[in-house]
This record gives sequence, structure tokens and C-alpha cells, in this order.
Amino acid sequence: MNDSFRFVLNGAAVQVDGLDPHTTLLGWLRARGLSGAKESCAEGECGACAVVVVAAANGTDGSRYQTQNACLILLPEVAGAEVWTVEAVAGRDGLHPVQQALVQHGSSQCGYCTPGFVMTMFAHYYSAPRRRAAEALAGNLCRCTGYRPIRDAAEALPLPVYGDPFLARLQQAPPAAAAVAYEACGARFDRPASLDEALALRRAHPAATLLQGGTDLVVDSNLRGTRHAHVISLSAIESLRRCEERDGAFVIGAGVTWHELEERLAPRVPLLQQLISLFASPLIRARATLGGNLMTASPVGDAAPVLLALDATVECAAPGGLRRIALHDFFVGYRQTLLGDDEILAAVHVPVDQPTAARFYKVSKRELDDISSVAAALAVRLDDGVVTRARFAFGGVAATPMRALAAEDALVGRPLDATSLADCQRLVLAAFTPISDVRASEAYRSAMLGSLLAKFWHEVAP
Amino acid sequence: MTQHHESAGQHVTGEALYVHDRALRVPTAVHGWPVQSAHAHARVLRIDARRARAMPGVRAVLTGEDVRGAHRIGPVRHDEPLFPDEVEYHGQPVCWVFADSEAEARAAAAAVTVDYEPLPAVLTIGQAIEAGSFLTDPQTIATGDADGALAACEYTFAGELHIGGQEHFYLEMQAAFVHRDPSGGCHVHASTQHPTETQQTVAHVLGIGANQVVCECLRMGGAFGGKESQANGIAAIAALGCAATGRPASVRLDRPRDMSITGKRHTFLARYAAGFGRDGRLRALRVQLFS
Repeated sequence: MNDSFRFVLNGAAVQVDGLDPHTTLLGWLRARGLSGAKESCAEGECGACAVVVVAAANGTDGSRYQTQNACLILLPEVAGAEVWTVEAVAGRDGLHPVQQALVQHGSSQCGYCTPGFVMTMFAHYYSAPRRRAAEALAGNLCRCTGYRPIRDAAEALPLPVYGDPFLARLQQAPPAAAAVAYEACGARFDRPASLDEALALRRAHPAATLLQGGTDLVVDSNLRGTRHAHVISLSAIESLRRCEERDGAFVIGAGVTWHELEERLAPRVPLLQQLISLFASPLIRARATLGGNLMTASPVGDAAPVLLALDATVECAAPGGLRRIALHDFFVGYRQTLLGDDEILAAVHVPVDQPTAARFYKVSKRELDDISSVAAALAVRLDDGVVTRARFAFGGVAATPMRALAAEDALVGRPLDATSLADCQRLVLAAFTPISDVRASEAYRSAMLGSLLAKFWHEVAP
Repeated sequence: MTQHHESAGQHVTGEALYVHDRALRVPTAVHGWPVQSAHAHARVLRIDARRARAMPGVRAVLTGEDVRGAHRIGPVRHDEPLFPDEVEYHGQPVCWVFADSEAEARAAAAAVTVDYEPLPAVLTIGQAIEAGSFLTDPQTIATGDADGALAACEYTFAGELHIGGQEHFYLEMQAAFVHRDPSGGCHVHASTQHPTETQQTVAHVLGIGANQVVCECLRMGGAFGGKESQANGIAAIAALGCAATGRPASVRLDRPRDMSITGKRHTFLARYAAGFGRDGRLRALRVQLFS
């Protein structure tokens, strides 16, 4: 146990001593005068706090730059990391091409969002291949410009040139995630390097909070001032970050981020691909994990309906061994799961064999980066136009994510036609009693249940 | 483009400083955090800050007793109390804690206990109309004889239109930073659309001459009307914090505080009757507009 750790900031080693583990990277940077990163929401939605982290590249031994929300990173999480902020982007010879593009295109008015856009575009500039500019920028808000000059700048970016030191860095491996055992100001932060160590810590400290990406926990801490006497971060456990195909299933480690999932697995699982494009923002997806989303166990968490529709099972690790639980049985109450006090969610198993047709629908007030009012993951296996298996999984209409079992059973052996639709709609409506809340009324949610089924029939019926 | 934004080069490098960025560069600064009302309408009976004052890093807990000058601010009617005896909206600040760090101020603010006598609250325009509860006398803008013309129209059409309120959502939240000027006056950095009014407000609240207050606004991170007058109260609180502690004082609202404390472009209700002829031309319109 010690009260200091080190990381590399803007190319130079720094040491942190005796700071409260609840300190966010954003708060720490700004307190040191690196005030380019701004706070505008403290919940990972606006991107004004964006910084760049050197992360593992997909499929090579090298690295890539990844933009993340500094407001959602607890400072001990950057132990051993390489972090870049806006202050280090310009070179001695002048502005970086990303900065030049933003200046040339008139991409700033008040300028408050600009450092965040610089960092997002910085990572975009060095990424290969590049996404569509509008997709890359989806996690940054601007209130002044209407976005067009920013998008124009992003689309006009040249390619990196040979000799660019930022480019050269990407040839080497990323920094290894160091183990951390840190205590300061009456709070403790552990980041074990193995699952066994994590399980031992959990057994010794059953009240400690488990942490993956932090994109939910740190929001709560920022907005409500919640403090955790002891945090156990799982982000350095390499075995939780694997994505494998084994025994007819994709085995997804609980620590795999949504971004990694998108690159490694989504092409093989179309329903997941549909979800990922609607899941939060690129900055959030760089940190948030599948396991974290399931363990938050929110009734409007989007991973659960999709995984329920795919007949996923979860793998829970305990000191004594592993056990598998069908996701269908895993949620037992509002934000409650079957995970034992000495267990850690290790992996999610998704059968390789995919449904014939599947759709994920997200009904929310904003098209992107919003919490679902109602979410539906609907899947069928069809044999010669007849349904042999159906899965109707919903979020936002019960205390837990839930399947409409009676409606699923009623569809087996039938085609997707007007009669089967009407029957299933009636059964789905009867299965749930949605509530009215800030996002939607009970009547609206009920109406969506019927509409989403109709939409599915319309899109999928041969 | 041949003409770039004057500050574009500073925007893209992070060199452009906003009010809170300046405050963070002053290690001796104190930081303010509000204690907010839990009621929409209530009398404030008692504020007990003893526990808060004893907490680490706390340098001052400001109440109405700390105001030497004007207790009420507001651009036209001066009807906005800085430290209300009677709170008039849920989340209204009733007192402010200043500490060495924002985290300490926030923790101490949670330790302040306030006794309230809840009062009936009128929460919607409809309720206000029914109760005859208005803040102003109605203004009438009229031309011609609307009633007569309506009665004579072949077709009339009447209804109600509800227009929801709108949050300004400036990306930079309200922020002010005040330090003592070497001459003994007050130097205010404020994210404000009206530096003169901010200067005046600070002077009135402190009970000093306007010529002893300098108000500087180098830039704002957006305002959209939300900092036309609402920045004044924040600056006044920072000025009071500076006076009470003798140290440079920073007040900046985080997003939940900003959205719950500051006013919006208000909700509107329109009740209208329109008359038109067979040719589709509008002949008469009577509108009642409530906000």
C-alpha cells in the first residue's frame, strides 16, 4: 500500500502523491494549470474534457491514440498510462494540422468546446482507417457553431506525414497497465493485475466497490458527491479483456470495452453491431465495458436486452471456481443480480450460431448519446418462413431487462403475418406494466411495445 | 477564409482562459458552493452552519448577515434576494460555503442544516391563473376592435399553445472570480454579458462605490442570454466571499447546480382566438400570453 503513483503526461513522467483517489483526471489537470480540458457536464456527454490516452492497437503490436472523457477517469486509473492534453499538441514550429484546420475553417466562436474537439480530432487524425468524420465527432458538443465548420475541418484533415513524432510513437506497444495499491485521504484504490488477486481482495473487502470503465460510477460520484471508501479496479486484468471463440460461443471478457467489441466481434454478431452504433459516444465506448453495463443492471441498460435476445450466459468467478448463469435468470430485482458477494463477473458467452433475423430498436429523446425510454432486441429463427424460435427482450418497461416469454412461445410454428403480429402484440402488452417517468409516460411506453413489434415484422417478414 | 476568429489560435491550443481557469491558477483562492432549498416555497426559519464551519478547509459560511449593502439584486425590479428569508423556487441558494477547495466546500454545504416552514406552492401557469397569482400587471398591445371583428368573422378558431421552457446551456457554466485590488477595491472576473451591470451589482451588494469595482470579462464560453443578468448574483457572492475571507474567491456552478439555480427562457402559455374569412385571410386575433 502506498500513497503515490506515476504516469506519463505530455511526454514527461509525473508523480502523484497523497491525493484523494476520488480526484478525477480532469480535476487534477485543471488544478495544475492544464486548463485546456474543460468541465461542462461532468457526466461524459459533452466531450469538453476530452484527453488522449495511448492504447493498444487492434490486431498489431503497436498503439493508437484514443480519446476519453477525463471527467470520468479516477486519477489512480492513469497509473502507468500515457496521457496527452491539448497543451502538448502544437509543436515548436506552430500549430498541429488538426489545430490549423479548425482555425482555417472558422470552427470556433466562444472556443469553450474547442480543446475537446482538438483532442478528438487528434486521435481521428492518427487513426487508420479513419471513421466518417461525423461519427468520430459524435461525442463532442458545441453550442455556438452549429457544427458545420467543425465537421468541415475534420473532413479536410490531411494524412499524417512521415517523421511526425506522434505517428512514430504508434509503432511501439502501449504502456502496460500497472497494478496499483494506493491509499490516501482515507480512501483506498486497488488495481490488481490478475483475477485471482481481485477475488482475494473482494473476499477480504466485500464492501469494496468494483470498477471497470467508470462511465457510470464516476458520473454518480461527480453529480451526487458519492464517495467510496474502497475501490477495486478490474481494468488491469488481462484475462478479462479477451475475446475468444470457444465451444460454439463467443466468450467476451467482462473488461472488454465497447470499442474493442466493435472491432473484434460486432461483424460476427449483427445485433451487437446495431446496438454499438447507438451506444453512448465514441469517447464513452473507449472506456465503458460490457461487464460494467451488465453489473450496473439498470432497467434501461442497453446491453441486457441484446444479450437476452441472443441467449447469453454469464460466467461468474469465485475463489472456488466458475459458475455459469443464464442471463435470463441473472437479474432478480431493480439493479440486483445473482452475483455473489465473493464473485466477480468474468465473461459473457454468446452462442456463435446467430438468429436468422434480429433487430435492436432504441427509443430515446435524442437519436444518439441518450438513455433509452424503451429498448427492444427482437430475434427470430426462421425455417422456410416459419418461426422456430423467437426472442423478445425489452428494456425500460419493467424493473429489470426482461423477455416477453408468452409472446415468444406463441410465435413458434407460425409465420410473421398480421395475425401472429396481433397475437404477439397483445401478449407483449400483457407481459409488462411500464411506469411513467421523466423519459416517457406509461402510455407512450406501452404504445412503443406494440409499434416496435410491428416495425420488426415489417422489416423482417420475407 | 481570410479572416480568422481573433482568438482562434488560443482556442485550439487551450491558451484561451475562461474565468474558472484563472481562478485555478491562484493557489490561495477559496471556492464557493451553495446550500440549496429543498422546497419550492418556504420561509427560512433557521440556518445552522456550526458543523459546516468546523469541517476541513472551510473559511466562511455566508448568510444575509454578511451583506453590508443591498440585499436584493435584479436588473429592473431589484426583487431577487441573495439570501432569501422566503425561498421562491426549489433549489434556490439560501447560503454559501467557502473553503480551500471545491470538494471541501461541497462536503461542508451538505452539513449545513436549514429549518424551513413550507408554504403553498403555485407550480404551473394554469395554477397561477386560477389563483390570480401574478408577478406583474398585464400589458396590453391592441389595435382596432378585436372582439367586434371576431364576432363578425365567418370562421373562428380558438385554442391553447404550450411552449416549454428552454435552458440556455452555455457550455461554460456561470463563473466569477474576485480578488482585492491593490488599491483596496474589488477586481471581478465574471463570465457576464453585461460587465457594467455586474460591476454595479457588486458595488451595491458590498456597499461600496462603483468606482471601487473593476469588472473584467475577457471571454465567455457561451451565454445566449443566460448571462445577461444572472451572472450578477454569482459575481456578488464571489465578492462577498472575498470580503469575508480576505482571499481571492471563486464561484463556479457545476452543471446540475447551474441548471437548478439559474432561470431559463420561461415556459409560455398562449390562449388564442382567431377569426378569418372564406378567403382564408386572418381578420382578428385575440391572444392572452402567460409566462
